[in-house]
Parts: sequence; C-alpha cells; structure tokens
Amino acid sequence: MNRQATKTQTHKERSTPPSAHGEPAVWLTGSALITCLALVVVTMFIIASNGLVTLWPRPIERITLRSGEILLGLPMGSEQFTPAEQDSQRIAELVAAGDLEQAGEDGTRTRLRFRLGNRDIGRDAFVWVPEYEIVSRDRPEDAVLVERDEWGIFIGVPEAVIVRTRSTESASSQFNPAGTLSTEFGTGPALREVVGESDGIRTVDSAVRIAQGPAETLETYSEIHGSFAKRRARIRALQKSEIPSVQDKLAAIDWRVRRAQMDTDIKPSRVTVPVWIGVAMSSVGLGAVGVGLLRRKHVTPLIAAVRTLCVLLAIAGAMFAVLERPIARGGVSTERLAEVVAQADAQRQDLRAQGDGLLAEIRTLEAADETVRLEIIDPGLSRFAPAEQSRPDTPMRLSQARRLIQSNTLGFSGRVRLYLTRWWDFLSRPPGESPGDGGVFPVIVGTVVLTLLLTVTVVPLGVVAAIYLREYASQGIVTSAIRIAINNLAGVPSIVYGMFGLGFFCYTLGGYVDAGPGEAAIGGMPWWTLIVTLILVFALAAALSAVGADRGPVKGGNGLWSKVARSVSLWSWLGCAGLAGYLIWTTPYFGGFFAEKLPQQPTFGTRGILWAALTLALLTLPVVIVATEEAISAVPGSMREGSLGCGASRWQTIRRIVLPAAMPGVLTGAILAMARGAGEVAPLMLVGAVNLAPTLPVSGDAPFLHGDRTFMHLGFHIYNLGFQSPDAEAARPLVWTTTLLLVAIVLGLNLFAMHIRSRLPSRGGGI
Amino acid sequence: MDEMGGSTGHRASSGRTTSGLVRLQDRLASVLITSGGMAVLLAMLGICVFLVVSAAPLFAGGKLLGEIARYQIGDASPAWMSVDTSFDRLIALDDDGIFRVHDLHSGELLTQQPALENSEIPASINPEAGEGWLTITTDTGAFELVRPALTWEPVEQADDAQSELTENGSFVQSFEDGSLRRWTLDIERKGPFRLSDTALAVDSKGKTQRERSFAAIDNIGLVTGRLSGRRALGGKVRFRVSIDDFGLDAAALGGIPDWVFATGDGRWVYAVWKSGRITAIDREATDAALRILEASASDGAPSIPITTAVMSLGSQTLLVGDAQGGVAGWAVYGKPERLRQRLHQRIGTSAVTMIRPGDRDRTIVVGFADTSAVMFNQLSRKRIVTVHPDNFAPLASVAGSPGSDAIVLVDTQGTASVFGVEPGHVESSFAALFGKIPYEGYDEPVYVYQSTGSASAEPKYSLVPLIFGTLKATVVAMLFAVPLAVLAAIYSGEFLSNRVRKYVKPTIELMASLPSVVLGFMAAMLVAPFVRDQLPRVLVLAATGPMVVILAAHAWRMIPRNKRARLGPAGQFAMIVLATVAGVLLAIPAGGTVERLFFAPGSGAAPSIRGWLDGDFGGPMPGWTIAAFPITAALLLLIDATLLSPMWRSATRRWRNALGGLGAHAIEFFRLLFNLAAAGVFAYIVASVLSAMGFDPRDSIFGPFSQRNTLVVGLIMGIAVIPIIYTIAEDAIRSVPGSLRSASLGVGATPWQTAVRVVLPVAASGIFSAIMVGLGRAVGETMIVLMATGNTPEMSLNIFSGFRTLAANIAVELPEAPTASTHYRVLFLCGLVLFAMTLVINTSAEFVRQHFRKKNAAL
Repeated sequence: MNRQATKTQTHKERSTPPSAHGEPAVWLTGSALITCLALVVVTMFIIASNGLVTLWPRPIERITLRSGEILLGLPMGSEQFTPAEQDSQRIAELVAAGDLEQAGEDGTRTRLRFRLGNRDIGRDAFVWVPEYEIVSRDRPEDAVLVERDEWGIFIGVPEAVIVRTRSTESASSQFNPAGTLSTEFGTGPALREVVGESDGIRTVDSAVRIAQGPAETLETYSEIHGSFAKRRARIRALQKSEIPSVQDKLAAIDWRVRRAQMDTDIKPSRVTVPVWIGVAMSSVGLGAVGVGLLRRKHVTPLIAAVRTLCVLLAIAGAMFAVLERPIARGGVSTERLAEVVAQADAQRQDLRAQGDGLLAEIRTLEAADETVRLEIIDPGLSRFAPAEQSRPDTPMRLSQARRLIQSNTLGFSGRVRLYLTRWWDFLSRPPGESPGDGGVFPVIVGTVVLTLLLTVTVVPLGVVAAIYLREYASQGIVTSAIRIAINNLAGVPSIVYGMFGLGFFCYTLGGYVDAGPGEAAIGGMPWWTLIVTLILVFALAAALSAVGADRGPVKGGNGLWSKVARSVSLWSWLGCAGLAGYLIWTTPYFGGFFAEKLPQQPTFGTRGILWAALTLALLTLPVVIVATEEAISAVPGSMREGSLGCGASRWQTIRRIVLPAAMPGVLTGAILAMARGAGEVAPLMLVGAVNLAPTLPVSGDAPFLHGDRTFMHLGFHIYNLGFQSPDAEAARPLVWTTTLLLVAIVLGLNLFAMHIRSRLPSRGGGI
Repeated sequence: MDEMGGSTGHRASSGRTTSGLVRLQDRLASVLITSGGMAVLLAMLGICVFLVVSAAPLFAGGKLLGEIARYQIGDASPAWMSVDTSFDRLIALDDDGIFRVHDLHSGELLTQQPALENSEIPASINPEAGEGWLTITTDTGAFELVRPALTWEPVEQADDAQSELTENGSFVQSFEDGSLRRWTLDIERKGPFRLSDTALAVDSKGKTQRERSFAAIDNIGLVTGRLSGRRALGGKVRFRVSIDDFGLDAAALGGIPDWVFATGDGRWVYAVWKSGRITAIDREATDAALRILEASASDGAPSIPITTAVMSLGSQTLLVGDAQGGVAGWAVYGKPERLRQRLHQRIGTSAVTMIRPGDRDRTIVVGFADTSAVMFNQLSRKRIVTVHPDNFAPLASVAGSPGSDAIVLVDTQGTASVFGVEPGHVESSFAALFGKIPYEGYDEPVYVYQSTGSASAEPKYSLVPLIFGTLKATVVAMLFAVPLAVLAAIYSGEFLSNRVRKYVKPTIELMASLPSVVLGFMAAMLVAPFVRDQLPRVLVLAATGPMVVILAAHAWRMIPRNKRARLGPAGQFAMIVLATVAGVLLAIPAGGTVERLFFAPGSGAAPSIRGWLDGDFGGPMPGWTIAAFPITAALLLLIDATLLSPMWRSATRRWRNALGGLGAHAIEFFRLLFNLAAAGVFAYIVASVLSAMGFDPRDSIFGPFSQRNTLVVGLIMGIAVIPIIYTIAEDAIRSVPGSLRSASLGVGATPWQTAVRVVLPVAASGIFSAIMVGLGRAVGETMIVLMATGNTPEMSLNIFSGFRTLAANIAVELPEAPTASTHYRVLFLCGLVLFAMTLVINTSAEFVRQHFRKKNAAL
C-alpha cells in the first residue's frame, strides 16, 4: 500500500467501508505477481542447479546388498516410494526377521538412486536401490571412474597394466612359459604363449604385467598415458578428417566428370566467348562513362541524353551478360570430355594411393595402440572393462581410458580442477558415441554460425525496411497497413516460417540454384521479345523519372503532371525489376550449378544452414524493424533539419546523422534477433538442424563457409538428446548442462540488449 | 515520397551546384531503400501467398489432358478391363472369354490367353477390387476364380519369335536404351466349383488367402457359403465348397435379386434388385427373423431403379448406380447395425451403366448411358474429371489407371478411347478436410486425422482434431496465464513502488526470452511426473492459494492501523509473500484430505484420484462438485458484489456502530466465509442434479489420466505466455495518465477503487490486446506441445488426456512428407490454418487497440 492510501484513510475512515479498500483483491494481485516472480526464479534455479551439478565429480560408493551383490556407483539422490506388492512381502519377511524396522504411517520407504556406468558389461545406467536392502555403504579409496569415448563411464578398481608383445626366439631354446620381461614401458612378470613355429623360429606372444594393484596401475597410467592419447588423437584425425577428405575429393572428381558429360549434350552458345566478354566490358565502360558524366556541373540536354543512353546501354549489356550463357557452360566438346576423363583418372589414382597411405598409417598406429592394456575390474561382476563389447575376454586398451579419476581421494581443489576440465571438455569436444557423454563443440559452432549468418542477413534488411518506413514512405494508410502487417508477422508461429523456409528456400530457391529453371522456361514467347520489352519499360521509367524529378528548383514539382509521372515511373521501375527478375529466373541458358549431383544428392535443393539462417532472418525481421524504427523515430527532427539546412542530401543526412544516432537501437534489434535465433527450434527442425552433422558448416577448404551443409543446434540438441535418443535416461544430465548453456547464451544476449536499450536516448524528441 | 527534398541545392541561390555523384548516391540510396523496403514487406506477405499456393491444389479438381489415343481393339467388346500399373498396357477380358493384352497407346494386341480353363464363355463377372480376383460364372452352372497378372523378365535377344511367344501368353518389348523384356500373362485360377445345373450369378470375396465367402443366385433363390483352401500334397492349395445351412428361396427373399455380393469379412451378403431394393443378409445370424436387413427410406433408400452395382475397394461397401446418374454407397455399420447409406451423389445426367472401383484408392470410374464417364472419389466426393468421347457407341467397359492418370473407355463396337488425366489430389476436398467422413471401420461419420494409410485403410486428413487440440491447449493455457498475468500487471502497475518495479519487470520479461524447447524439456521431465504424483495437491492449490491469501488479507485488516503503518508497504509485501507461501503449503495436506474425502474407493483401499479418473470406482458426484465449485464461487461472489452489496453495507454499518472497526471486519470476514460455504452447497446441488441426470464428468472434461496431458501443457505454456501478457498489460496500465489517478484519489476514492473503476477501464484495450498477443503465441507454440504431450490426434475434452496441435503436427510430419504429395500439402494447409488463426487474433487485437486509442485520445 502506498502513501495515498494512508492519507485517504486518515480523513475518510468512518465513511469508507472495508470493502472499498479491496484489501483481499489487492493481496490477490500481489500474490499473482509473487507467483509470476516465483515461477521465473524457480525455473532459473532448476536450470542452473541441474546444469551446474552434472559435471561436478561425485564420490564413488560401494554398496553391499543383502543378497551379497556389490555395486560401485555414484549416488544420485534418494526418494520416498510406496513399495509394490512383491516388495511388501520382502519387507514383511525382513521385519519379521527383525532386520528392519516397521515403516512409518504412510508405508513409504526410502530408495537411493545410483549411476552405475559399465554398460558394456551389462549394467544399467541407473538403478534404484531400496535402503532396506543395503547392508553397508562405503567409499573405497582405490575405486576409479574411467571416462571413455565409447559406452560411457566405467567404475571399477584398477588392477593392472599389461603389455602385449610378440617376439621370436630360436625354437631350439627351451620355452619358458613365465618369467620376468622388460618392455619399453616397464618390467614385470610375463605370461608367454607360443603362437607359431616354423623354420626353427618360434613366435611367442607375451603378456607382461608392468603394473599390478591399484596404486601402481594408476601411477603407470599417468606416466605413459600422454603418448597414447596423442596417438589416439592422430588416429581419430586420420579417420574423421583426412580419409573423409580424400573420399570427398574422389567424389568431387566423379561429379566433375558427370558434369562434363552432361555439358556435352548442350549446343555451344551462339555467342562466342570474345563477343560475350566484349559486351560485358563495353557495358562496364558505358556505365563508367555515364557515372563520369554525372560529375559534370553544367548539364546540357545533350549531355543528359548521352548520359541516359550510356546507362541504358550499360544495363542492357549487363542483362545480356547475365542472361546469356556464362562462359563456363559453353558446351563441352568430345575431345575436351576425353581430356577431363583422363585427367580425372590420373587424379583418382593419386588420391587412392594417398588414401592407401593413410590407411597403412592407421594400421601401424593401431597396432602400437593395441599393445598396452588396462585392467579395471567391476568388483560386483568380477569382470574387467573389455576392449569391445564383443570381446569380453580382452581388457580395454590403455588409450580407451581418457581419464582415470580417483574420486574418493580427490581434495576440494582437485574436484574444482576436474570440474573445470570437464566443462572445458564439454565445450570443446564433439558428442560421444553414446548419448550420455561427449561435448557440444559442433553444436556450439553450428549455433554460432547460424546466428551470425542470420544477423548478417537480417540487420541490413531490417534497417533498410525501417529507414524506408520512417524516412522515405509517406505516412498514410499504406504505412499503417504495413505496420499492422509487421505486427501480425511478429505473431506468426515460428513453425509456419519453418514451412515457408522448407517449401520456398530449400525446395524452390535451392532447387533453382541446383538445377536451374529446367523445362519451366518462358512459355511460347520468343525470348528476345521479353528483353526488348524490358528495355522499353526501362527507358520509359527512366524518362518518366527524369520528367517527374528534374523540374524546378525543388526536386519534383507538385503539379499534377509531375505527380502522375512520378507514380507511373515508380510502377514502371517496379515492373522493370519484376520483369528482369522473371527473365533471370527463366533464362533457358542457366542449367544450375550442381545439376550433376541430382537427383541423388541435392546440394542447395535440400535443408542446409544457409536456408535455415534465411528462414530465421525472416522470422526475426519484425524484431529488427520495430527496434530500428523506434530508434530512428527517437532521433530528434531538429538534427535532421539542421543537416538538411546545411545542404546535406537526404542520404547524407541519414547516413551521417540519423543512423549513427539510432545505432544503439539497431544494435538492440540485432541482439534481440540473435537471441531469438539462438533459442528457436521449431523452424530449424524443418530446414536443416540434424541430430549429428558429419561436418562443421565452416572449414578450412574453400569456400570456408558451407551454406549447403546441415548443422547442429543447441536447442535442437536438447530436444533430440532428451526425447529422440535411445537412452534418454543416461543422456538427461547432459541435457541439463546443454540447457544451461543455451539459457545462458539467450539470457545473456537479452540482458545485453536491455542494457543497451536502457542507454538509448529517450523518445520524445519527435520529428 | 519526396517531401523532404532529396537533392537539396540542386541549383542553389548561391550558384553552387551539388556534385552529380552526391546526387547519384542520393538517388541510388532512395531507389535501393525504397525497393529494399518494398521487397522486405513483399517477402513477408509472400509467406502468406506461398502457403496459399502450396495448399490450394488440395481443393482443385483434376485436369483432363484430352483424348490421347483412339483405336479399334477387335470385334469383341470387353466385359471387364484393367490398366497395368506402368500405364502402358490394357488387360481386357472380352465377352468371348479371352484375356487380351493391348498396348495402351497404339492398341496393338500383344498377347492373349483364355480366361477359363476350358475356354468357356463367361456368363457373369464380378471383380474383387484391389485383389485382382474375378469371379466368373459359366452357363453350365459352375464358377471359377481367375486372376490375370503380367510379369516380366529381362531377355538377351528378341530372336525370331514374337508371334510364337504370343502363343503361351508372353511377348517381348524393347526399350529405348536397347534392353528387352519378356512379358508374360499368367492366369491364376481356382475352381471350377459347381453349385447348380442352371446359370448362376456368383460373387466371392476373400477374407484370408485360404478362406473366401461366396454368394450365388440361380432361378430358385440365393445360396451362400464359403470356399476353404487346404494345402494338398505337392503344395498346391485345393479349395472345398461348403454351403451355408440356410437357403433363401425367391419367396423368402421377395423375388430373385438381380445382383448379389459377398463382403470381404464373409459375414454379409448384399442382394440388389433393379427396382431399387437393397437388402443385406447376415450369414452369421442364428435367428432367421434377423437374417435379412432391408434398406429403409430413413437410411436413404432410393425409389429410383438401380442400373448397376459393384463392390468397392476393401469389399465392405456396395456401390450402386441409378437411372438418374446417381451413385450411392451402402454398407452395414453403426449401432445398431443397419444397412445404411454411406454416400449418395448425383454425378451424371443420364443413367449409370457401369461403375469400376479403383484398385488402389477409393477413386471410381463411372460410365453413363450417354457414353460419358466420370472419375470420382468416394471419400472426398470430388468429381475429378468428366470425359465424353465423340462418335462413340454405348459403353461396354470403362477403367481407370491405378494412379488415376488415365481413363479408358471401350464401346460395344470395340472402339477404345484413352484419356489422359492429371488427377491432382483426389483424396482431399473441403468436405474431407473439415467435415465428418463415413470411413469404413467406424460406426458413424467421424473427424479423424491419420496420415499413414494402406490400400484398405486410406490416410485420413481431417484437420478438425488438430484444430480442436490447438484450441484446447490454448484455452487451458490462457485459463492459467491470463488471471495470473493480468493481476500481476495490476499490482505492479498500481501498487508497486518504482524502486521495486525497476527490478521486477525486467525479471519477468527475461522469462519471455526463455527458449520454448527448455520449457518443453522441463515440462516433460519435471512437471509431468510431478503432476502425476501430486495430482490432488496441484488441483487443490488452485483453491487454497487464493483462499489463504484472501483470508490473510482480512486478518491483516484486523490488525490495528498504527501497527500496520509501522510495518509499512514492505511489511505488507512480505506478508503477501508469506500468505502465498502458506497457500502453497496448505495445498499439501489439503490435497490429501480432498483425495480421502472424495476419491476413496470405500473398501479401505488407498484413495486415488487417478483411480477415480480411470473409472475404477466411484460415481460422478466428486468430479462435478469440484468442477462446479469455482464456477458457483465466482457467480456467488459476483452476485454478492453487485446485488447484495447494499445489504452487507448496512449490516457493516450497524455492526461498526455496535462493536467498532473490528466488527466491520468481522462482518466482512463472515461475508466471505458465507459466500464460500454457499458456493460449496450450490456446487453440491449442481453436482447432484447433473449426476441424477446421468451425466458423468469422466466422459467429458475429465477422463483417464495420461502423464503428458493437457493440464501439464497448459501450465507450462501458461508460463511461456505470462511474461508477454504481463509486459504489455503493465505498459497499458502505466500509460494511463497520472491526472486520472490524482483526480480519482482527490475525490476520495481508495487506491483500489481508483485502480478498478478508473485505471482499468482506460487500460482495458491494452490489456485486451495483451491477452490477444499471448493467445496468438499460445496457438502457435510448437516445442512445448511437441515435448509435453503424446501428440495423439484425439478429440476429447478430457484435460488429463493428450492431443496434437496444428503446429506440433507440422513439426512431427513435415520432415517425412514427400514433396508435393497430398500429405505435404495437407501439412501446408495446417500451416495456413495456423497462420489464419494468428492473423485473426492479432488483427482483432490491433483493431481493438486502435479503436480504443481513438476513444481514449481525449484523455
């Protein structure tokens, strides 16, 4: 309640009935506000707490059950539950045996949740253990948590490091099945086995235990792990990037040959290359002359006519150059085709040799990698972590253990360090094989590239539209209709934009880029008549503009004639632009840039990051337009008048006075658009976000930014990981972390926008 | 366009001129910005145009490409024919009993084979659409099942002998790329089965591969039975005839029928008379009196003579053509089972002479006496094309190609005419997308959305369940969000100090930018399980929360003023916080109590509201009471505040005179309690009445509980729209001129009276438009719905069931829909409907805002 209320009360207390104060109603409204605030705070708290806690190292607990089973797991909290019927019987037995106290009044019991890992040897990712089944819980010091690239975590006790070597010896010497051997990694007791004998040479496989017991194993691991990790990284680089790159090059060669084959079917252009170049050059020259003439201070009618003619011819030439078949598509002769094929064969051979070399390197590295094994035992199952699920009798390779964490002996600082390292891993690594581990690096890259592309597209468009609305369009029915349209479009569901993106950008526009207009060229009309019409309409528009604009000291008189001329010229220009667009769209000489890959592998004619960015640009356009308009209208009219009064042209005024002043608004719009784009998921599902993109949308190969590639996106990753993955339960902790990341990015951007907006000059200067 | 003067000193008085370059730049900027601005706006409108263009073909009819071939196929005219799937061969069964394969484009005879084993002449033919079997009877009283099939294998060389190969039913065809294929016409036969010595008309339909039912008429009456196959030695299936133990003679039937048909499920036999009479005979009826179902006028039986009859694809529906050009579909369905009309459409002007059902979908080709033919879809009621060849003798046979892209007509003189058709989207029409359709397998016409289909269960594209789901989700979300957001806006706009407001508003606004995928994830992971486990508490919270707060407010008023003043506004705010928390906490025990009181099964088992919802126990009473209570409470409070207010006021005055301020508060308190109690009693009465009338809320607003339900979506979507509504409504309240408030307070109104009677009416338009914007957002929300519901397109009012919205449907299905298919376009229509809904909502919000702005301009 505020001051006024108290004041009124002092005088009117007697005649004001309590109901007039509406105290209950006021309290209700207050309570509603508190509820809203609480919803915000609780939501943020849940996201933050769940997201932050996931990567924190938890202790490893050893639980011994009444059945004698031993579990090693990470405690994940507990809950009350009502035992099911068969559990109730068990409880009754335990109670009768005096092992358990009677439950409370509501009959509920406590159960604990553990994360177990070890899925490759048949453990569940998570288990619920009723408290009454537990005999003892402790935290063994020698238990370790192994972070692996495949199959998620493994929890167990490190047992040994084994080096497997193969050696030869003379068959005549006595075979010693056991003994001490030294290897490059260390010395230890060995188990030897004969695997072959020929020509007096005996081949022997030895397994040397260079470390035995938890402490020694951990020590040896930390000593030699570095070189193994490096080798593993090299193998991964070969498998994931170098070999695919060779394969891509091979595919590109195939496509090139196919393209050449397709182009042999095309009749060569009637226009020879020199003529084409000549026309293009002369249109550039004419354009330059026309622009040069503009610099003249005194314009005689002759100069004006020449100027107009130059510009006309330049534009006609440019149209010709665009519409006529570009040089590269000038048909391929059979000789040239043979040449291309031969060249392709040579290149293929080179590349195959290169690929074989890479494969050989991988084999060598893997052979070295195979030698050292790490034995980590799950004490409950008495089995070690296997190299593969299909080879349960072979202990894992040392390089498979990315990190061994002795959680129970870690101090606080160690935990913090590990926590930060894990965050770094999360941010810098690609998603793992199983949904529960790995990082989000490609996801972040996809999101960032998408957001940047979207911003680059939407900001100029939005600013131009806002300038048009505020500075150029006359304020009337049209502009208010347009504003209503913009308001409406701001409310159009994002999924509808997604449909539009898929239908228009991907299939229509992308299909055009890929394959050209196809059969759907200009109907029965001779094609050149359209160009002639275009030039005529253009000339008319130019002439009318000249008549409408260049009369009298003030640009464009207010006479009826000028008005009519201006509006006719506007429509002519629009018609001109439409006709030119139609001509370009239907040019029979454009066969598409990637027609050779059709129909198996559309390049731009399918979902991709470029189309996704354009879709989101359209979606966020209203945001930018509204923010920019607001900022432009807040620029005081006096500033514009001052500039114009000093003799600046309108464009100069906009560029040097209005836009700089409105910059914070533009920035706000851009940031809001980025935030919206980063958080939007529904349209991306339709236009290009995928579960697992094989490549990043940016790379070191030209053209560096690959608009045709699919990509990963934080929001879609959340949806996908939490709902589409086969093991959603195991993935959930990481989903929370990803959610936290996304929320942090989006809210950060929004806070930044709010900050900028708060520093905007307040509206009210007016025009 | 140019009111500001672009090229300023074009020729200024000082004589200095602007450089041409500056003018060019100015001109270019002006052109670019204008065209850019225009283009952006056009692009945005382009979305609407694109959606319309993408969805429009759904409503368009087919396009006739004209007669693409005409030729003579021989002297004999075909009694039945079919177009091969690859659209270049015509298989005709001529009336001399020989299958002939013609090239569809040239008419060249490719090969021929006798239909019946002994090359007999057929007397009647009944096709089984979709399966390809023909039941052919002969004059000798036997019938045989025949199925022609064209198969091919690649061959190396054409060799010599095309004519020779024709003998054994095969021919060789060469393709453009030089490859050769040998086509073989294989005839699969079952039978002959002998029933009688006289001529018969027989129809048989398969239930399974080994079991078929049949119905036959001879000159005595009707014989029904079944053919059951047994695998004999050598792996060949032999069929045995068993005849039903009831026979229907002419007297029992009321005359010998002209056509007789068996249904695919083997239960029914349809008998049709040329007079227009149709009956269904139940083969499984144990009581002879119930055996014959007569089509009655109330089910649409016509009195027009029937000219032709055939069974439709799926062998469930009987199609009859009448003498006036109408086609009707009949089947036994519904509750009670009766012979009912599924379809009746007049599609021609002259008598229907033949109906050829489609083998792949429910598109039929109907031939008329005036030699015209119509391609028509049974479900969408769409007349796709009409063809009318010139110079044609009466039709002998018609057929459509499986993809509906050609119609073949043959006249009695053996002239064939082939028409090319662009069928468009045969299954969709306004009626099919928005109306109730009598699909097979349903008891009545229904709205169904089921985008995957098979030959017998076609895809069903009614948008109504999706629109219903969208509205349901939106309404529940708004019921939750609007009161909270608007009340919060009133408090922060009218009663909150600026210092606090500065932090409160951005905090709630921040929530608006929370990605909906995050909310959807939380809904599914946290809220849905929470609501499942704590259902009674969540429901009770809606009552305890406000009640505790109101009671606390009364209690607060009873504290002496000077003590209240010492606590100040911050103290009051803290008290409100405490009261809110207390309301939430009270829900915990209250939920359990309510569950025990209302939802206990009685036999000592644990009370469970979900058990009650599933219909395990209990009557309709508790549900109605709980559903009625908020309504009666609101009504009573309203009546109390308007009609009874003077009475209470005088009572208050009297009590104040008697007991002082505390007495007045006591009476207020009593008034509230009285109202609530009365509301409870009324709710109970309403519930008793409704229960006595036999209504159960579990059939409508309540029902079986599924974890991802409307309530959960409503809560989370509410959270998503609260910030939007709050922000705009708060702005509207804040923008009410301060002078109005001052004036109101100045004449002695309390702040509450000022807020309700002065500020709110002025801000109403803004608040309305806030609600509409929130509504628009909720309608199109995708991710929350996608993640927090089961996405089943069901239509029930039950707030504990799932649903599917338009937006979620697009998100789920569009990635899989083939481009330009019917499904794809239906999804675009979903998008268009969604677009239209938001357009209406936003435009009305804008309209109201503009209207009130003008009205309030005077303020």
